[in-house]
Amino acid sequence: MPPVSEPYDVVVVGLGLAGLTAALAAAERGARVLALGKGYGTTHFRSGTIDVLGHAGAEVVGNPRAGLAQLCQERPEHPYALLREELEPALTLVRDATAESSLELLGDLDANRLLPTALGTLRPACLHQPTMGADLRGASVLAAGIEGYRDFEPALFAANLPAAAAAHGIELRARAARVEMPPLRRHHLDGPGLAQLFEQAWFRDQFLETLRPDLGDATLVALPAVLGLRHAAEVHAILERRLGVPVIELPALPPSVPGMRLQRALESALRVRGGRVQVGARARFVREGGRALLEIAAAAHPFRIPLRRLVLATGGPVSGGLVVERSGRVSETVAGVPVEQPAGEPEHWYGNDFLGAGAQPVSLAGIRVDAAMRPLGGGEVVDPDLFAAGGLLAGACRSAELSADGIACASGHAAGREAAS
Amino acid sequence: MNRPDFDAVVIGGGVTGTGVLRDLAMRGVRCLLVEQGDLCHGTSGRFHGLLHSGARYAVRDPVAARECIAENRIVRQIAPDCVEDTGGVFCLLEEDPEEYADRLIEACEDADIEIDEQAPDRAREVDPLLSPRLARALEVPDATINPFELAMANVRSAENCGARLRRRTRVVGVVVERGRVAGVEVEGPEGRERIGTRAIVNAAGPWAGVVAGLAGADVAMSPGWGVMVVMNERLSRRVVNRCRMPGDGDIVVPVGTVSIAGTTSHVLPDPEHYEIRRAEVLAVMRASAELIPTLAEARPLRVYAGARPLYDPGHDASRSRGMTRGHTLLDHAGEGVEGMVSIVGGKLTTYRLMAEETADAVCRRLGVRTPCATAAEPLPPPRAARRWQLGERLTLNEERGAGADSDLVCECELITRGEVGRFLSERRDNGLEDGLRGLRLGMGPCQAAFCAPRAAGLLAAEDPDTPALAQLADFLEERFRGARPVLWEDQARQMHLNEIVYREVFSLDRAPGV
Repeated sequence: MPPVSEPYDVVVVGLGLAGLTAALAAAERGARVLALGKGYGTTHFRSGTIDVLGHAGAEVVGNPRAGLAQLCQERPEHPYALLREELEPALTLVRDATAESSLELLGDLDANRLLPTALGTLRPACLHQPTMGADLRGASVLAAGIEGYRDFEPALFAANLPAAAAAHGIELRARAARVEMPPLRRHHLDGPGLAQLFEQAWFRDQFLETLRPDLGDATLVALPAVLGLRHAAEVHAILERRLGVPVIELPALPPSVPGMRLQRALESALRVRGGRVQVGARARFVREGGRALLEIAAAAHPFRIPLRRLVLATGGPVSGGLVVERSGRVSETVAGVPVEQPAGEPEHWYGNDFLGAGAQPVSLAGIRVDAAMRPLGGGEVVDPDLFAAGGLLAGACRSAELSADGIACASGHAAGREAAS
Repeated sequence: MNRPDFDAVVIGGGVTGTGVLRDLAMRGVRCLLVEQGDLCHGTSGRFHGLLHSGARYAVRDPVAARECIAENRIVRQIAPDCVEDTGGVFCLLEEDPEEYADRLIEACEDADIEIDEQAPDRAREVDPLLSPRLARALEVPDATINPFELAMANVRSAENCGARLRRRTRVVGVVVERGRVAGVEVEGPEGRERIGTRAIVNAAGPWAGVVAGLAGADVAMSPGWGVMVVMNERLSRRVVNRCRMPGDGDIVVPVGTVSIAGTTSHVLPDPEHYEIRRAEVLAVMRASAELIPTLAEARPLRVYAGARPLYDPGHDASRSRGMTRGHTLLDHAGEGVEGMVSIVGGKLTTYRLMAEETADAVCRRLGVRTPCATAAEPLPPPRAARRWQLGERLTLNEERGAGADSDLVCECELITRGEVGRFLSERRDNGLEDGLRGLRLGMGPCQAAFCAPRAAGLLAAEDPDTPALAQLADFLEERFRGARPVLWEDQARQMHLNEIVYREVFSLDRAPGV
């Protein structure tokens, strides 16, 4: 298996938010960058927002900057403790990059915004796409589902939103409508498929025509988050103009169309900066005769890439960067980097409840890094040319905190910069 | 004296209790079934799904074996839609003592159980994943049975004869007047009340001791707990048994789209809770993998534990495997509770026979002379179309064609919107968990990640006042509890994905009412 000759300054493994931010940060500093992954990251499962810190214990965090200060004080082992200065520039980089693809990200570190979801719940987000937020106070919300699209039931949304809003002191009304689109034959529609349809004028026209009689006194129309992949801003503007009221998109079950937008916009910005992107490549770190190599099991034929600097942004257990082994160990899958194990016996790595207070103890497992995002083993830097970012990092309870995206952006930014320096 | 509300009250909505209800109702007895949870809430809903041929008991307990094969034949006749005729095979491995195979053949022949030796090569053609160390293979008429459908069919048949069912109703007292049963005190969704009856049947399974105690009677139960591991695919066509004296991890049952590996045996007094340890699960998988080697690496979806309702007047907790699997009918007249009987022990396979003997005793007490008719009269057909394997479901869905009812709610198990709607319309009052029991929704690899919110949506579309999000959360918690002891590799990965969806995308943990 001959090494390919093309030299990269920085190779990033992982194409999620952390990997793409790292690759962008490195490319901004003039590094020749290759970003590769076996698939996409959890962007496709998430909301397409940037969550920095949404929950602190039982509280919903109103101001992420203030919440972070408190978190870092209480939990010095949290990844944010190393990354507080990194967040602001990281979010700026991500925001600027997505704007190049006409994907604006609204909001800032000083306020979370409450966004409605497809279930009629509300969730806090730091940055969000303009299609997702609207003033809910006093609104008369019309939720419209599309017959045959199983992942958004407007009646469920309408039945739950008023109580969810009331819990935050917001009064509103909500009702449901269902739009039947005969050409779809009601068969197994998914989000990305609908998103493509919404980018076509004939589909929008028919949709609007069918929906309009239900509009009534609605001051806000809520739709599942399927309003286009490449041209969402345009589709959204057309719908608002023609309905005469604001329209919002509601994040629903995966695959997440807003998440795909975010990922595509970042990937496109990376390419513009000269970075290379390769999807469908399963990587393994090897050393041969003192040389560091990345062995790639690609679809066509396997090959090796010589490494100068490597950023691991392979994610946690969902993405496959970490694996919870049957033997009762959590391990890292690409380079065999030491993993800080969960506390206690494997029997207790998962708590008694799925949605209970706090996180699953196993979530805290991951890779410890120094301030330059270099993995540590026994307190020592494992390899000066190796960096880690995102879901791999130890010490966070991402699902309980709503902190995954902020950690990914900030640690990706730091790792990319350090790897390119 | 006023006529009591019922002639007989049956306590316990497992397959046995529903069988007794049907038997009594068909004989014209006015009867009521009370169940503390939902149908099959206890042992009937947590066994391995095997309709015994009797071969597992043939060597050690010939009486039980004979009963099994006789009832096996009857149940296939009266409830054909609840039974998948998988067949079963006993596998003797190279390291197993060979003489057991010969003893098994002899004992089966004595008990009238068809048993045919098959060349190991041929056995591995039928079930290619069987161990290459297979030395002898013996085919027997094992099958699998859907306990939920069976219990519901019993209830429907009984209701057609005027019987009544109350779920979510717990018996909290037995009223005895002058040494005779006069009624039961129950606590249900509408509060506490007294129901008059002339007879009581205690079919509470592992809770039978508790129920008997309410009347001051003694039934010495030793719940024998067994752990079962649900693997994510069907690993064999037939029920695979180890050909040796019964022990831990010696059976793999193909149930619907999955295989269930079992089991263990621990006697614990608590009929309600059993904490499943990771080590116990791994031990079952290791032992079962001797029969089907790929099982060692296969993906478990979830685990559960069921309590065998063992009757043990000797109170010898150390011998749960040795205890008889036969059943016992206890008449409490001698203890000053005339009119109350308890039916304990036994197996799901012989539920109808147990019900017949119990109903005979009750009818004698009530002076009812009508003979039992349950062995000949078929049960009403199930609500869902009969299909066991994914291929059958796919064919069915294809034949139904397009339309809203054909939309898949669950991709893992190919369950359609029409089917979910039919289940929920009957039993929606008790939430997704109860409403969907027996449908296998949420039982596939994704453990409800995608189907559960869709089902909750159907609930809300039907009636916006349903607390659908709370029910969704409960449903997800149930799935999580089942998967918790096997959260590793892909199943751990799925759990973490579900965390992203429900905690991060939906913040369901913060929803009002959850």
